[in-house]
Amino acid sequence: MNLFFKELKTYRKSLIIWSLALVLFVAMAMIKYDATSAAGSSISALLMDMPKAFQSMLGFGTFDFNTPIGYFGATFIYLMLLGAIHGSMLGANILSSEERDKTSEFLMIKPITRNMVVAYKMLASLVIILIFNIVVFVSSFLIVNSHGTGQSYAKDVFLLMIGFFALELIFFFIGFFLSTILKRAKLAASLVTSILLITFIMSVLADMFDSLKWFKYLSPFSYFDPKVLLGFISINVVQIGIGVTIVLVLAYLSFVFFNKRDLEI
Amino acid sequence: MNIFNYELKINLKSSLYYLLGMIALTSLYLTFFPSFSKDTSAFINLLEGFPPEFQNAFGIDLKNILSIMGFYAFILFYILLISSIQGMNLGVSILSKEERDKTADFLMTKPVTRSKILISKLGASITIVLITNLLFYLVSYMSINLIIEDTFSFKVFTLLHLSVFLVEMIFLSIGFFIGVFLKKVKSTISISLAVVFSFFAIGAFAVNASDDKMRYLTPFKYFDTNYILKNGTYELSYLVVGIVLIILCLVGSYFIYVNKDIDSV
Repeated sequence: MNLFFKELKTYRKSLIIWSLALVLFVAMAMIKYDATSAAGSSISALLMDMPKAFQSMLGFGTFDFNTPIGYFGATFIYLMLLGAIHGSMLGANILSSEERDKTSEFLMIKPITRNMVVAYKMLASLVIILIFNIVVFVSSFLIVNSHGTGQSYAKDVFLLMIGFFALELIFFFIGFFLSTILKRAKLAASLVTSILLITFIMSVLADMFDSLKWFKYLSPFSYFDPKVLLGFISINVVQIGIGVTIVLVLAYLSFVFFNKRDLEI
Repeated sequence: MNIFNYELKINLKSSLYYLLGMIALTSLYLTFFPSFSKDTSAFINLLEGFPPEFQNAFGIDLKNILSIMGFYAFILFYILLISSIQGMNLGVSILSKEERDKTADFLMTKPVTRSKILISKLGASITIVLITNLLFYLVSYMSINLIIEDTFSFKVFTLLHLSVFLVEMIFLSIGFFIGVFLKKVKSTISISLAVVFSFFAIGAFAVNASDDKMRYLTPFKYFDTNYILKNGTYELSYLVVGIVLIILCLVGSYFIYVNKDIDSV
């Protein structure tokens, strides 16, 4: 358990900074909402007639910009992007930092199996991710509600946050897994970043062009698209299935590969 | 000259990956322009039935956005994001890696002054950014001519690409400054992503309109695409702020580096 608490302590500062940054971004987005919602609803009607690719280019989509939750939903994809970055960096670094900082030998001579090292580090990461998500959820809920006219948006914000959490978890496990198989563990962070950027852009293109619709199966950003989370598009069971499989398989394989790993010392 | 050549050689490879990715993305994207313009021509007709005040409510010139250059500018925004990360990575790592990899002692015992080291490494980074941007510019020009039959403004095309280069230079300089300012850089990519995406999020969440003073806070908003499309120039004040920022960061890094207490083994 020492390792678990040690990791929590190590990541305390970064967790605080990340949480504050996201709260700040939510607040900024909703201040912007106050400024734009005055433009009137006639625009929304015209938006419906726009070609899909063009809607994406303007960043509108199916959301109603005249409600706080519609506006929040439209900007939520950027929050999810930040959450995915948080998850992937955590995953790529938490195991590989031992090799980077040349502390693996120190850790390995402790009376603790490699499986336990992976398990404690994973558990600590899950706790960190959970705290981060709760902070983002509570602050988003409070901020979005304060811009509304009385009705509660708890359910909608909660649905969005499920997607936020799931996406962060997927990228966490991609980063974590890569750090157990790559010969130079340091490369995990660069590689997971490339995957993140590529899949993010794929999800944008999949929304714009019908012939690229199949990208939606390749990009986790599409699995938990805010439009799906808020119920504008029905849930695709296959996508959710792929997401769950990625998490379970990568978590299992991380144990397998770390046990066989030739640590760089 | 040894340092310059060495840095050029080892950094060029990863830059080429970035370049290939950017070329693949733009080429793929451009192939969708014919179907996009077919979809939007009906929409333009619809739009012409509305009074001009209504079109102005968007705050943007829709016809410009729907042109080939407007379409192209949309994907350049994602290119901008990628190249900013590339520039920032290069800037942060090129000096700080010596300390992290404990090669600073080795370097410092060579008969070169610190200012020479700094200038060689800066020169190598700028050369890499120049080469990748120039190649990207040339290849994009060819592919846009191959794929698209419409005529387009060569000046606007050049200005758009030049703005990508300038923003990358800004991030390179900020990264360079951070690399010497921080006592120790553990994970380059974590810092790059945090900084680049913070500016990205400020742009996405905080900036309301093109006359918003918040634009000064993020390099992503210094070169407004709509303004370039409409006027065929940059906004002078933002261009000046960008260049001043580059100079300040570089001069600042110089003074910090020559006086820095460098970690030895």
